[in-house]
Amino acid sequence: MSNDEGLTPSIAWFSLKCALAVAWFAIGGWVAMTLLHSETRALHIAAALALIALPVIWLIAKIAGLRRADEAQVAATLRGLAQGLVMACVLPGAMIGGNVLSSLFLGAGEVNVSGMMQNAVTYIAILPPIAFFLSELFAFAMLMTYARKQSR
Amino acid sequence: MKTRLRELRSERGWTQAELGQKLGVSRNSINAIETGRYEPSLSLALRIAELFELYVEDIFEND
Repeated sequence: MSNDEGLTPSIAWFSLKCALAVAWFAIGGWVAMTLLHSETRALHIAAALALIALPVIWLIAKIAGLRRADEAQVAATLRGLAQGLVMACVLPGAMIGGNVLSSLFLGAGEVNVSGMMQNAVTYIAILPPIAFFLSELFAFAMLMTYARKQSR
Repeated sequence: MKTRLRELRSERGWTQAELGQKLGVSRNSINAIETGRYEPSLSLALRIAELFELYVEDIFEND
């Protein structure tokens, strides 16, 4: 446990995490494009490693950060993580479902399985940064409410 | 959950940061407990009670 005031939620720290999420999102886009369109083995390996390694790095960094936090901060962070992960899990289904419905009612009138699978690869590639962003957003919001004083 | 933590802390003239330091938690956690936004674990509640030399139920009570 710690009484480290450096653990106070700061907008600068959160902004840095947003920048990381954007960078990760861009990497996710590159991974999807590489897996769908590249035929280079080395690029496929790099894309696969990016898919595997970045969430693991996030997990390790999160565990290391929580070791310095006190129980209220741990509770807020874990709740933020849970909410972010749940929302991120819902997104691919919603996006693929939206694709199917738009194909049926606005497009050719039938489901394009090949196109849907390509979209699914993209969604899965960008899912980790979305989960990262949502988790950090929820945790930040919760920590801000803990930090906010009440006048009564 | 209602708490008398702010009142007890004020009686002793401690800041939130000082109380946090005594308990090994952050000032924000003390603030969150005092404002009812966070309910402490049993372990922390017992440490708070021990510090103030009171029973837990003298400091915390259900709404």
